[in-house]
Amino acid sequence: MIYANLSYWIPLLPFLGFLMLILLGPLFRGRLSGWFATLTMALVAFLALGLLAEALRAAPQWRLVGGEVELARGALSGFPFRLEWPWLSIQGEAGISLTFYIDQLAALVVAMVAVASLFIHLFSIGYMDGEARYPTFFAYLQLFTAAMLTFVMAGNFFIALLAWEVMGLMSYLLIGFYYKKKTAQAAMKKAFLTTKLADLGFMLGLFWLYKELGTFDLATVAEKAALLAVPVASGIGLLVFVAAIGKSAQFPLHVWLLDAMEGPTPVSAMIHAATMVAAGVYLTGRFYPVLEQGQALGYVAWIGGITALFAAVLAPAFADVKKIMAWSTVSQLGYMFLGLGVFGWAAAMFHLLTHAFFKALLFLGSGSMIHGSKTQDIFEMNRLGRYMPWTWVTFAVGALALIGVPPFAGFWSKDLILDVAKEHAPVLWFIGMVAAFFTAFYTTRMFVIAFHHPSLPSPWKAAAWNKDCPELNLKAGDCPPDPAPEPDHKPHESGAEMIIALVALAALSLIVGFWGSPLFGQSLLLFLYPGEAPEIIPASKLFGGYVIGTLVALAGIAVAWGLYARDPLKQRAPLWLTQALQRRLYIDEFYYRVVAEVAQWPTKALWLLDTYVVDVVVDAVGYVTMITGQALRYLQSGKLAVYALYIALGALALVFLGGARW
Amino acid sequence: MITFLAVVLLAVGGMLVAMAAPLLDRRADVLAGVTVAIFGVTAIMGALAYSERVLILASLEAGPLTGLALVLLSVAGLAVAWSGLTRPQSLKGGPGEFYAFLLWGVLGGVLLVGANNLLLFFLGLELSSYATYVIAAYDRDRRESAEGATKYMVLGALGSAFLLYGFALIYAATGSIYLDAIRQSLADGVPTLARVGFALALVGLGFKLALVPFHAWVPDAYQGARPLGGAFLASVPKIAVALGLITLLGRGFFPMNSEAGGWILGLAFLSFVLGNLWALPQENIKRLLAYSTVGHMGYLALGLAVGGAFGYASAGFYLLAYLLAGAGAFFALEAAEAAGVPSTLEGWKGLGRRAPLLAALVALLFLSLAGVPLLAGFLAKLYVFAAAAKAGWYGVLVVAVLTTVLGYFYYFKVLAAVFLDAPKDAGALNVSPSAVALVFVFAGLSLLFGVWPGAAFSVIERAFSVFLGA
Repeated sequence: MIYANLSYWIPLLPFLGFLMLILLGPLFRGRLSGWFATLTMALVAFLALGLLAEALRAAPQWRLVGGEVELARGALSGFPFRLEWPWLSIQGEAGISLTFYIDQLAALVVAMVAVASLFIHLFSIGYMDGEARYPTFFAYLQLFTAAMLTFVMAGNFFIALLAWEVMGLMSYLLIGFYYKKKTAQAAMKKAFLTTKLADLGFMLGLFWLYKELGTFDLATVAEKAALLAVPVASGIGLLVFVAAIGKSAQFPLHVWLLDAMEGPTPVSAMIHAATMVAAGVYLTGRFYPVLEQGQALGYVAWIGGITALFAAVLAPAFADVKKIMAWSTVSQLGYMFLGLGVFGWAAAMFHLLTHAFFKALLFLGSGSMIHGSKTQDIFEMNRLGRYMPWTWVTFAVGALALIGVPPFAGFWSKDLILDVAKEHAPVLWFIGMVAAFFTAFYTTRMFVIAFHHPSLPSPWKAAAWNKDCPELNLKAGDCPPDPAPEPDHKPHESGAEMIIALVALAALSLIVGFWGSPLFGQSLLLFLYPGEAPEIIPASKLFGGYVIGTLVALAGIAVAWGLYARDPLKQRAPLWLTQALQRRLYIDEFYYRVVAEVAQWPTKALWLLDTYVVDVVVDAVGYVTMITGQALRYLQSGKLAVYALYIALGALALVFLGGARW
Repeated sequence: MITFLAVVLLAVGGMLVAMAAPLLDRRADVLAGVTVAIFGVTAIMGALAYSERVLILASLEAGPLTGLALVLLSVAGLAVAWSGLTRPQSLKGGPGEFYAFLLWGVLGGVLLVGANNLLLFFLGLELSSYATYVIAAYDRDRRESAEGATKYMVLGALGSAFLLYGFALIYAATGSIYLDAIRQSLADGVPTLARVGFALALVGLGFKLALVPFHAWVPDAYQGARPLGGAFLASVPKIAVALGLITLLGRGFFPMNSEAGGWILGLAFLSFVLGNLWALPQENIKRLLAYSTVGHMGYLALGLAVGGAFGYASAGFYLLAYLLAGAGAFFALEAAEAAGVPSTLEGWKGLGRRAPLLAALVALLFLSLAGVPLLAGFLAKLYVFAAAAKAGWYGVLVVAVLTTVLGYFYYFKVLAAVFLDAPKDAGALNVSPSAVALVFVFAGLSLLFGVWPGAAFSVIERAFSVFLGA
């Protein structure tokens, strides 16, 4: 219980680190602030792993015997761990306490966030070197991590909401870290507005939940969810799910994530792998009992399935390595929601975990590629495989994990999700399989062009059909495209801290994948076991799915290799299709042109009301009040006798009230 | 016993400081250090005394309420003493007397809160009052200081006379000056004489609390005193008298609580309506804070009027929040005046650019005074309003909430001048670090108790439930 009792330090340490760095930033010279923040995270990761080990020991032990899960040993006393401090209390109400609640899932995700964040910090030490606001960057990373850890450990949804909002703020600040760039300014606003809009769902859902159950407490809500009427539970669950859609960038609120790539690359790794987008999935996982009670899981599954396919289809049309990764994140999160929606709770959480590591790896790997080649455009990258062997190897591990080739991490978790889907919703299984094909396709395309092809003029920058679309540039006006690297630029391998981070994440994504695989008895899934889990089945029954999944992945690789190894620039698809894909199926434009306009109608109406009615009334009230204040000044004459008279009059009044008559 | 020791320490410490004063006229820092040390010790003693349950010499109740008063008053005194270090040589009347009166002022406050005896109550009140007269008059060379203090003292004498006359009537009606005896005597019916007596006593107490219509001295005294004196006036007598009034209501006059509550409610209502209105047109920040104090005391008195453990606790938390933000604002004024900025809206223009840290802290303090969420001032208002809502006073509540809007107006007027207007004199201010550190602590605590009120509120609430249970 040592680690459980100390667990409040897990979010507190990075918060203190944030305070140190933001207040004393200028005192940290050179890379010192980066190392300081990284050491803080190392400590946090140590505590988080200790907590995970304790949770592993204390959690109930399940065993897979002949296709059935049976309890080997119940939970030790004190599990799930719970720390509680009084916070806001109003008499007669339950009030809100500051509670940390650590069950299996929380312990696992805390460890995941802490470890991934640690390596992202480590990577950033080298990557951000020479930036003007170096300490500020680490301060933001620290607070971001602190908020995510608080969110995961929060024992009641109110605290979770607070942490969630802090995360929203931090993503805003980090996406706009290069705030002098016009596109970054526009991207930070877009991200904030989109997620903020979705957050309203979280708040409304929470308040409704409180009205129904009178508590924000996570464990109590899970227990009492069955008491909710079906339409109510469905309403609450879907409202909260809207927030998850926004945070996890699911269709149709996915629009912000692609532009969020304006932030520095480690931020992308942080937001789009380990923390922010994972929060949406985690929240949905926490609201699972309510969603289940409301029979609303079908929506979750379909949103996830559609997103998984949609994003995977769009990704091959892009040339910016970070944008391809962004689409891939959207698509992979879609898989998680798909898994949640088809009762594959544990499988979805397993994929959350593997994805966090391999996507952090891929983002940091693309950061290393950008660092070495001075461009984000895969066409302009010059045979990086030759110059950056470490990046090549680790990126390959990440790519194979993403594609889902055995025995890499993504294979185990994705196939498990698809396997559950096959039983509950065959259509979604098929969609998932198609998406898996495209995943293999875009990943291979990116890998081949960036690592094995000499540099080419970027077709993306030259594409004429995108010129008349200001929305593609976030309406930021005329911004010249990023310059291509010098023709004789020799890519170089990144520094030691960056390499270490990449290697560590590669190793971790392998380990985590094996932990949940049938090779090791699916022990991770048994640890998370929520009482019923269709995905925990003997390996023999999984075998068919494995074969099909592998074949689909290999097919995607083969097709992409065949198309892009020789002549990447050849225009194969019809132009209108390429254009539609590159303009993101016109969804962003639709939002800018139609939704934004329509949304302004009530605003304009209110503006008229405000100017001609409210302002007049307010001005009148203010004027009268001011006049009164001025007039009252005459009572304050400055004469002692008058003051004494006031006292005497007051005394007379009180005495009269007291009963004296004369 | 700890309470008694603290009382002795304050009394003897004051005497020692006063006696050593002529020798140490040029070493104001030593005197301030000694005073700060004494207050530090008494604050700790107050925390220890929280668990005491003793009646000392049948007159001084040593309990959690006295402990609470000891802590709050000592902290206020400590901060004022610390703030005196910002420009020690400017204490023209000699630093020794200033610190001695500071100690005695706090001593009077503690005695008054712990009193089980009308005589001790009155003596404590007078002791505390004399300290405030002297401190208000400390810049005797300045005309406004002398004028404000004179008005204050003359009217104060009038208020004390009412109080004493009221006590005399109470003695006549009940035959005792001991609060527990008075309570027993009133239990089988409150005679008119006692009621009139309490009404007269309320005049004197309302005077100290700056409730309308007994408030007229406040703006002149606050404006006349240096900001440091303003901080003292805004904290020590307010804490002492508000808690003292609770002592009277809860211990001696419990049988007539609902009636007295109605009277206090009337005073409270006048105070938060008129005080806030008066504050609107003010251009001098000290005067503005003085009128806003009247409004704040109105809100505080609302909690007192409700009564009961929750009503008193809401008032107690209001005191804490007001001590932090109100006195903190005066300490900020002191820091700015020491750096040569007059306490007027004109002078404060552009302070945000000249002293960014100080201005940011001022913003926190003023926002807390205005009652912005996440700061102690907001929760203080919330608790008081919750108490009023529980009592079912919805009409009063609506007016009270509306008047807080006036507060937003005039506090933001100051902040707008600080942050939006261009400074007349663009030079960076050389603000004393020790003064800013003090403001930082007060602003930080305002934030802390705004985010984390639970512990403080439960300590305060427990003090009152024990007090009412006894």
